[in-house]
Amino acid sequence: MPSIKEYNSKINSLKNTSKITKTMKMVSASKLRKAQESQRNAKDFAHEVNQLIRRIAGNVDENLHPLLKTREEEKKVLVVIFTSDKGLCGGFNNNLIRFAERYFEERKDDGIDYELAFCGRRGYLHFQSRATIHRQFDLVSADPGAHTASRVMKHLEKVFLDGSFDRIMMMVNEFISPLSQIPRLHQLLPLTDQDLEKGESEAVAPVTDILSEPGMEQLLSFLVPRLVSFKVYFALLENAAGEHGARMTAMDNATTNAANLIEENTLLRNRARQAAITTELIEIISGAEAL
Amino acid sequence: MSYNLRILTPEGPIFDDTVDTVQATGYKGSFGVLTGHAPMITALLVGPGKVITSSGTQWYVFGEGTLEVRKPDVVMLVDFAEKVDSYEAAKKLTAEDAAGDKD
Repeated sequence: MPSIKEYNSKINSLKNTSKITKTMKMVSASKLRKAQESQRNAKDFAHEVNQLIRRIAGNVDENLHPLLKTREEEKKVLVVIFTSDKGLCGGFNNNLIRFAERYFEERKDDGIDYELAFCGRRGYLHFQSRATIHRQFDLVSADPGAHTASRVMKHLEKVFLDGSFDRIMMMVNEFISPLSQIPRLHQLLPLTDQDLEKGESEAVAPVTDILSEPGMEQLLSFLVPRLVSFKVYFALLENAAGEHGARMTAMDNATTNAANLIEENTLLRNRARQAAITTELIEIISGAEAL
Repeated sequence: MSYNLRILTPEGPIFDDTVDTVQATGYKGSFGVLTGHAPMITALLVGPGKVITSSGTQWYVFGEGTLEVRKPDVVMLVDFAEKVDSYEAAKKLTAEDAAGDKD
């Protein structure tokens, strides 16, 4: 049986652990709120851009911009996988990685070349020796900003337009609640009807009696990439929200477990102390009897 | 004379108030919008800009985006809008941004 001293040091280290996990939980909770707030703002912005595109172009069809055009033959597909940079967030990253592996396993015979790009280190570390890596975007997961998103977007736009890839997909954990995140696959490029909010609002007649500089067409080529940038930014935020939600839950569990262990060990320590006292008493009594 | 200016970025609204003039960097250089401007849509490039209100002048660096004069209001949709202290600071930040994009 371990001594009282050993129990004490164990209890102390458990107490320290639970302090850390409790703090991590609170930090994640506040970061989660921030990410959700940003998501709302980003949605408003995308809506405004869409409205503006509609005002300029009337109804949007796919010949309007190369980023809207579906290629007839799809040979090379880039999948961007969003994970967190850090661990300690339960099954958040592993769920997505398993989802991705299943996806590629099912499609390994269909003649399409898949390459992977990563936002977030966890996914990259897992796949770096297992698949064709196109690029790892460093330092974008931890602190998602519109600025970093637009940098990622510029690269993706470039490789899409120069024909390196015919389709670009995103794999990201959708944030349902702090308790559940579900891996999902979205199409990033070419843009889909949903991105253009088709069906959501009626087509308006394009405004014509308006000054525009540069011309309307050029203006459109300026606006459409904004929507792509928004999608990347939104995915980053979704990933951040999911990460913090998952970490919150994981750390909450860890805190509860630590509390249980502390209780258990306190009981064992008290027993050990009582046993020591009893032994001592017996020794004294039998010593006295011997006299 | 004044009008209402809204500056929106993906990170949220940055500015929503009555202003006298807004200046930004357009395709063909810096330009300003005064009250009563004809309806217009224009593309913006990364560069210094300023907002003049009755209480003073504020300097910004605006990211790429658009400016729309939508009578009687003006709406700017930009990638980012960072507040700075002076024109010099704005120019410096613009240069840093251009350097950062080259990687």
